[in-house]
Amino acid sequence: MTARLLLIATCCYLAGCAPAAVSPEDATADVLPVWDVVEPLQIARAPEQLALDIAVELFDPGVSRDDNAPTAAVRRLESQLLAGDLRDTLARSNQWGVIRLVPEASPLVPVSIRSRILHSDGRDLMLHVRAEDALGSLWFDQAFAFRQGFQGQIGFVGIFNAVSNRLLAIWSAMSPDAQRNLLEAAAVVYAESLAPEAFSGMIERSENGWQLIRLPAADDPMLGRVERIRNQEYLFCDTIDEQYVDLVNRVGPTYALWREATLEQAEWLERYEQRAANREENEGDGEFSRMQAEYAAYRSFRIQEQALFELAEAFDEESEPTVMQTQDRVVRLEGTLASQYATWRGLLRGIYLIESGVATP
Amino acid sequence: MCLAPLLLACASDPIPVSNADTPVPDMSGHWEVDYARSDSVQTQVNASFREVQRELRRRREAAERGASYQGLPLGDLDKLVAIAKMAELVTESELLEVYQDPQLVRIERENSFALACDLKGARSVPSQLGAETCWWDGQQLHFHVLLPDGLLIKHRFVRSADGLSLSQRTALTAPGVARDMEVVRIFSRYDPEARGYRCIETLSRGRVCTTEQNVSDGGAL
Repeated sequence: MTARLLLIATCCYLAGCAPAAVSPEDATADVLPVWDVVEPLQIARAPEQLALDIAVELFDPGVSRDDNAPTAAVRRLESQLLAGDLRDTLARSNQWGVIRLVPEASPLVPVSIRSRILHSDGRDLMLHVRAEDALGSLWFDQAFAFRQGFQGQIGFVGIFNAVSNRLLAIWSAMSPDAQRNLLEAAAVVYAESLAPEAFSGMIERSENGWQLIRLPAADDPMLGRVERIRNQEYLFCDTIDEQYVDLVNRVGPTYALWREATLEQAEWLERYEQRAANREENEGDGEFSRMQAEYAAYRSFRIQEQALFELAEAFDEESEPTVMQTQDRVVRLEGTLASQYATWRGLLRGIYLIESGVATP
Repeated sequence: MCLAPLLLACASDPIPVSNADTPVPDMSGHWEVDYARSDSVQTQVNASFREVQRELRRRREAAERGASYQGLPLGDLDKLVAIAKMAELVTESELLEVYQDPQLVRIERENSFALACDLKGARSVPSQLGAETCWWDGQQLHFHVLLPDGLLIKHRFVRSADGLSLSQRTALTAPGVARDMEVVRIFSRYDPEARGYRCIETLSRGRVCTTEQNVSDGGAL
C-alpha cells in the first residue's frame, strides 16, 4: 500500500497536478470540490416570442497555444467539443433563438457565454462560465465542477443544463419591455461596432448601467447595410458550425472511448483498493494474477489514451482554412479560428465603409 | 522506501536528464524479434531457479557447519515466479515500429501501448494506474513503467553500430524480490512491404491485417 501511495504522490508530482479544490479555480487547496449534481434541463414547448440569440464562444482550453504536450492537444480539442455540447444543450432546451458558436466575443448577438476549462481529465471536469450581454452587463459568473458517474453515465451531457437554466432564470425575470429593450440595444451595439460615427449616442452608458435613448429610423439605409454585414458574419458562424460537425464526426468516437476508458480506470482503481484492503483474506489471489491485472489495466488505458493523443495532435496541427464569399469576391481565411474571425470582421467592416461611402475601394 | 527512484522523484534522486550532447541514433523503421539471438524467458526462469537452489544449498551447508551465512536475501519465491511470467508478458511483442525525430522517439509495440519519449520536453506520463518516465543517457534509451503494487518494468534500447539490430533489455523488479528478472530481446530490421501483408492495431477490432500487392501490380488490394 505504501508503494501505491508513493505512486499516486509521484503521479501528482510528475504531472504537476494539484488535488481538486473546493473552488475549482483554487487548484491548490487540499480538499475535494463539491461536485455539482446534474439538474434537469428546463425545456420549452416552443421558444419565447421574443427569441434571445446566444453566442457560445469556443472554450478557453486553459493551456498555452505553444504547449505541444499531447494532453494540451486534447484540451484544445475539448475546448471545441465542449462548446458544441453547450450549444447543443441550449438548443435542446428550446428556450432560445439561434445559438451560434463563435471563436471569440462579438457584439453580433445579445448574450455571449465565455467558458474556461480549469481541469479536465476525462472523468472530472471543472469549468468557469461567464455570461454577459452585448451591453456589458454580467448575467452570471460561476464555476462548475462535475464528476462522471459510474452506472453507464458516460459523458458530461447534462452538465450544461445548469448553464441553460441560469440563463433562463435571468431572462424570464426580465419584463417583456426590458427583454425587447435589450434586443434593440444589442442591435444598436452591433451597428455601433461597424460605424461608431453613425450610431453613437443612441445608448447612454453610466456606472449604473445603460439606457436606450433612441433607435435608428426604420428606413435608415445604413440599417440595411448593417443587416447585410450581419448576415455575412452569420455565414462565418455557420462555417464554424460545419467545422464543429466535422470535428465531432472525426474525433467524437475516439474521444468518447477515452472518456469511457478513464471512467473504467477509476472503477478499476476502486475495485483494486477494495481487493488490496481484503488481500489478507484472499490468499488465493496469486502474485501473478495481481500483477497481470495491474499491467492489463494500465496497458488498456494507455492504448486508449495514445489513440486519442494521436488524433488530437493530428487535429491540432490542422488549421483548416475557411473559404467565404462576399457579394463580389471569394476570400480564403487562414490561421486560427479566432484570427480568421478577426480577419473576416475586418473585411466586413471595410465593405461596410465602402458601401456607405466613408471609404473608397 | 523509495521503490523506483527514477520514477518517484524522491528528493534525493533527481529525474535523469536526457543527454542532449549525443543524439539518439536512428532507430526508425520496422523491427522483428530475432529468436536465435534473444533470451528465452524460460531459460531465464530456469537460471533464476538454479541460482535460488544454489543459494539454498549454500545456506543449508553453512547451517550444517554451524557457520553464519552472509549471502543475499532470497526474497519471495512466489513473486519471483510471478515476475518471470510477467517478463514473458511484457516482452511478448514480436514486432516494433519506431518513429523518430530529433525531439521524439516513439516505439510502437505489437499488441501493446507505445513507448514514447519526448527528449526535450515532458518525459513522464503519470496516471492513477501507473507512471512512466524515459530518458536518453547518451548510449541507451530508458523507459521505466511503475505499477501500483510496486512492479517496476525497465526497458533499455540500444541500436547496434551497423544499424541492423536493436537490443531491448527488459528488467522487472518488485518489492520483496531480491533480484531483477532480465530478458534481452534482439530485433532485426525488416521490410514490411516485402511481406505481402500489413497489420495495424485498431481500437475496435484489435489487430487487423490486409494483404498488399506490389505497386507495380496496381496498388493495395
